[in-house]
Amino acid sequence: MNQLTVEEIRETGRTILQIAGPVNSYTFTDFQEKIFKAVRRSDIVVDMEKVTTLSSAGLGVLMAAMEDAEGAGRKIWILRPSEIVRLAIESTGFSDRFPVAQSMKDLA
Amino acid sequence: MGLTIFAFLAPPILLGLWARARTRIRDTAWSRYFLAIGIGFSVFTLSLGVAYLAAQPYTLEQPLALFFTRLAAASAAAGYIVLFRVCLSFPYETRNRIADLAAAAAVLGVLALTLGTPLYVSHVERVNLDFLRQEGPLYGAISTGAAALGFLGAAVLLFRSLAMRSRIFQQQGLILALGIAASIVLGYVTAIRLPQVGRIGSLYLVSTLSPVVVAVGFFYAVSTSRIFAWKEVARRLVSYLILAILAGTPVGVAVSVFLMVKAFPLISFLGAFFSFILGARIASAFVNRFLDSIAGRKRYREDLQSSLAHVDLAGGRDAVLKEVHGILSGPLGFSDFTVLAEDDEGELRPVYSTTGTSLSIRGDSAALGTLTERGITVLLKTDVIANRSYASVKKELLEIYDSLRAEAMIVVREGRETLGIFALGARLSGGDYTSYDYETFRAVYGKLFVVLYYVKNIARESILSTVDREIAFSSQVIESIQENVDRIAHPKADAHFIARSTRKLGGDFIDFVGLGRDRFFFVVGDVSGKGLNASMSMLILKTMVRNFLKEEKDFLRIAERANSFIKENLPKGTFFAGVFGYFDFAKDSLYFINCGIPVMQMYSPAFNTVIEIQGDGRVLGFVRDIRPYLKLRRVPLVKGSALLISTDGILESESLRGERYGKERLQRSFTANREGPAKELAEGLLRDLLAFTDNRMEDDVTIFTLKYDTNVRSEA
Repeated sequence: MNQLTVEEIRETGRTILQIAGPVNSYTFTDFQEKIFKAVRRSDIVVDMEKVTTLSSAGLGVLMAAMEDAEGAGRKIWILRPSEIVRLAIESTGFSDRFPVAQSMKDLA
Repeated sequence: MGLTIFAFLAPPILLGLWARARTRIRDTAWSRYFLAIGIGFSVFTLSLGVAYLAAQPYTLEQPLALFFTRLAAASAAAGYIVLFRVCLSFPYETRNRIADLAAAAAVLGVLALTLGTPLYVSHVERVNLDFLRQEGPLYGAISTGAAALGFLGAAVLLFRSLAMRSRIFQQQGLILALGIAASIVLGYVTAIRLPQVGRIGSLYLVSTLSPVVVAVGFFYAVSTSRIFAWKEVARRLVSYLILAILAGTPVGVAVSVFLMVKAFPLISFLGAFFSFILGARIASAFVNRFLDSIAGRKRYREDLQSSLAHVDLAGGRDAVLKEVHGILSGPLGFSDFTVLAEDDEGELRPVYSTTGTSLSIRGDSAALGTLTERGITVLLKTDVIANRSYASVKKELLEIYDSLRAEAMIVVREGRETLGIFALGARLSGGDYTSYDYETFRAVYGKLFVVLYYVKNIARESILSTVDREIAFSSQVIESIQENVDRIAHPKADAHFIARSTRKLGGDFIDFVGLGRDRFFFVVGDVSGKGLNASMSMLILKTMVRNFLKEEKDFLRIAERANSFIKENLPKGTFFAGVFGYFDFAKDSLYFINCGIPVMQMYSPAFNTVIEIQGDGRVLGFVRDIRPYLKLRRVPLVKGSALLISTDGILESESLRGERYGKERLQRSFTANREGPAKELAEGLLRDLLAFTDNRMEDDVTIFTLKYDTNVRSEA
């Protein structure tokens, strides 16, 4: 899969972003626009189960969204991160600071 | 000893203030007057202390105590005469020989009358704690005359100040006049009125504090070159006074009572005094923070920092500078705004101006050279006018201010090279830039540096016509800067690096700085992001790291400051994953801080194997306080060992089938090429990678290799 798709599902009080494909320096702009908009509006859940690549550009977007969420008093969760995403998060050395959930039930 | 302590404390305070003031005003007339006054008043306080200690109870003949009492009076009067002379011309350094001669004559006259005759005091004695004097016929004239002269000087200075055009000179004059008046009131009440009228002689020695008051006033008058934010000063002062009474007094009284039981009265007094100050300060700090938080009394500095951090650098030069103009002029309310940037000939020329100025300044001019020497990045016009240390370049600097119609300048510098200037015009409110504004400019300096760096190096109007041309030009600039590193050249080391960017513009980062014959600093890493912005961030960070390296002795502080710089100045979400390190070949050692470098491997000849050495690391730019996470590690460099450092691009490269290159392949390539020179080690790895990806590169790749203490050398 070489195309990035970002699907947005709005629920009461939160937005779910389903990300699929590579988040790299060619594709991250769409991801960035949607996550930044969503975090201003509500709590967000970023489903990253189908992410095949997460470059430093994509990781930077995720980190910036976390900072925006904290500033706006919103909550953000990374749902079911794929192995690639998990490794990318671990590479920062701050994996304990990324709010990761393995299922929607964990968010309740 | 009791209150005599004040007499002996005053001289070091006076001379200390003079020494501090001298660092700002250098060897000027005011420095010399300050010294003369400091010596005069020091003699006064010391003499008074000695006289008090030498005075005996119920003894008529006391020549020693009498002499020092007279000397104290004479030197105090001399001090006020010199102060009066100062008030006639302060803050201008105009010569007035007649006034100087008249002052000198007056000083000699007072000395002769006071020391050589019984006209001032004819007899002294001490009764218990009271210091009693037999006053001569000129006692009133000399003591009251000196006080009156001081008051007259303060009044003259006050009226002169009100007539001055420069507000900074007005402020300086008012501070000195207030200091003189307060000093005279304190001295006159404690040394003259209370003993005379109230028959209270025990507080006589408190009068030795009066010179300290005037010296503090003089110090602030000559040292300040920025307008106080008077409202803020008044607010803090009132809140401090209220809290001093409410919180300081109970603490002071409690300590005093406690010490009275246990110790001497003097200890009790000092204990109470310092407890009072401490209690008031703690309460003041606590309450001010609390009030700020609940009242939302956020001043414009934070908003300015936030807005400048979000300037969109992709918008082109004019759009960027227009946005910066809008951000700065909003809270500051100034009229004119000019940005000068250095061109290829080393001239600073306007790249944005509301005044239409065509001013051009040589980057190596005397005025800018002086600012560079002193590390000045923010300079208010009031500094140039009122700070005597700028005397040698005052004319040139004021010409620049006038040409730009500016009142404040922020000078952006890379090392010793001036990249440009932000010139801010007069405020529409008519007010001057204050100390708070000055501190704010210093706080946003890093962000303005980023903007100017972009303007100077990338966003040139001539190459903005097409994106392709911009990228082509930008990549040339970036490549040339990337190549500008100190190569590691040492008999024991054979080093090589390769930096490949997929689209010419990338965030990979490699730098070396020689720290002497045997020591080499290095940084290898990746600044997150893409394209032009990532390249800009990388170059800016590279420059800042070099600056930090010059300023910091603690190696961890370099990484700590880089973390703060990324967090506060680079676009949000930017982080750095890499390593800061240095080789110490004299000690056969590599020292490093892992800041998220994915690959650091070493071939050990003793075990004939490749091992990972990077350990745990944290990227920079994610958390505000990185210090607790930073660890300095040491790895011994043994004969025949080889080192490989690489950014994440190599690990994450994929084949046509979607397989990752990964650490195992990298380690195999490293092991296979370990016998060759460093160049072959790096190039062999790149060849292997390109073969794996079928010559496709999707991410930047940076490889650094070093062979240690071997006979095999890379070809130049």
